[in-house]
Amino acid sequence: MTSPDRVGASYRDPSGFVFRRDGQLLRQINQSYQGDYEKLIGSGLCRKAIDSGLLIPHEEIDLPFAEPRSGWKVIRPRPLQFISYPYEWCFSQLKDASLTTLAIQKQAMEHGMSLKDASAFNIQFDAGKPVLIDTLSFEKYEEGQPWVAYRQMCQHFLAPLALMALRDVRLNQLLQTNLDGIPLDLASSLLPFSSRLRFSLLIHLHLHAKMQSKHASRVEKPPTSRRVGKNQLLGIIYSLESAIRKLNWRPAGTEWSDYYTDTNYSDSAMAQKRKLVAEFIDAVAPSSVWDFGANTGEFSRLASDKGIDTVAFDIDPAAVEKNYLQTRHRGEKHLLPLRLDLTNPSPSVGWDLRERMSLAERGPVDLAMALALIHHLAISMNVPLGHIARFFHRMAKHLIIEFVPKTDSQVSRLLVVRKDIFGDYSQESFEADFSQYFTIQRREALGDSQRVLYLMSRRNE
Amino acid sequence: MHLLAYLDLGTGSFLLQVAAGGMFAGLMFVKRFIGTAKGFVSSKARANDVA
Repeated sequence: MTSPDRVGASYRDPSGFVFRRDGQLLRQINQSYQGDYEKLIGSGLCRKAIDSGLLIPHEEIDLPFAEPRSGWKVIRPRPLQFISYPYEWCFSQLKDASLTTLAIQKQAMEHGMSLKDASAFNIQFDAGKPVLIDTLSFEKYEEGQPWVAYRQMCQHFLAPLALMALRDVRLNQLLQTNLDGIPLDLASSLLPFSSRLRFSLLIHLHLHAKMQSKHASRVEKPPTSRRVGKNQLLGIIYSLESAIRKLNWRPAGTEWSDYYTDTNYSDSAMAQKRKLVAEFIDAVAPSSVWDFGANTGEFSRLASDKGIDTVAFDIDPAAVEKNYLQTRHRGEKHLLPLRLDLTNPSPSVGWDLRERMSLAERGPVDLAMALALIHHLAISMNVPLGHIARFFHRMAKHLIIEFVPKTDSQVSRLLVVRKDIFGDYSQESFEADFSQYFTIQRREALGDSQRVLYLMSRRNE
Repeated sequence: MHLLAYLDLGTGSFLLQVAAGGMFAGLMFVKRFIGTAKGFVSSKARANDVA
């Protein structure tokens, strides 16, 4: 048995922590949480939350503690295929995660418990649906006590959703630099004045920010004579739920979300591309796929429809939103759309740079796909072909990649208003640079399109 | 700008819940009452249609 490796994100809660041992992800429950855990199980809340798909299932197992002095029990949560973060989610993903958190809080209150935190990072997408992964987030509810997670609920969910819906959908990126949610004074100052006309936003965001500011440095404890009754608390929960449900964002006509209707492929070339990509996927037989530049996921579904866990990355929030709405509509369990700027992928952030993993730390994936992408990286973003090859080598064991030549109309379009400084951008250079990192397994011309599709396997170091 | 990092003890959030909780609870009951009343009226109407 190897020594336990404590997960970097799991350090705040004295109730327990997550660790890895022998390839398994486990959670130690400390003695201090025994009473709450017994209430969680005994009240039936745990079973109900799991059965309704709100809480990740777990099993209690008889394994040594990672920290024996404080340990009481070890549980094994059901493993997730991919860990994603709120700054990688589209609007509807964050909205669904918010509503899940509130649904759990309502269920908890029915069972005499309450969520002690409402961090968006405690929610993950499992089989296409948001689910709470922190089994130790519950505490006994004491009548009269306020909801300790109220501030977090507003900072992690309501504020970013309001900013995305009412100001700019890209503002969820603030969650990457504000890991405890968007400060309410910042959200309040960024929101348009009209947001004050929505009663719930006026109270939960604008007035909340003012109250925080006014009482921030007050050292004495709030007077115990002031209480928040159960119905008052439920009123707050329902108000938050109503405020979130009323926030909407509709993607329309951004650069990629209409891409499939704006390509230079003939029908036959497109059909051939689909057939070849499917063939290449079958040849690799991967257990996981990352599709970079996935747009609305047309090619990602060639993998996910086969039951392969697939993450569809795209830079365009509208494309990711459309893709997510489609996965939700179709009840797809193996496809997770996420927003990612490949030229600035998610870094390691948080305490000790170990709290939230970089994209690279979440890999390598069995198979990466980069279809109709390379010209955007090499020509739009000036990334040399060798650097692109090195990046994919770090991310994936196998690669399906499409080379788009300069003669292609999409590349010509990129060069219309700029000087062609890309003398090395050719199929020969592409193959030479990628051959340093990959073995080319197959090379197929895509009909009349002048493009070439490759299947490559990573060379060992 | 008034930076609150590491300083906010949560007092503002607590007091807001005390102050606004009653109002939201009242709104919740009013909405539920209206919902129940609408349901009652529409079920009556359906019953009359069937009769």
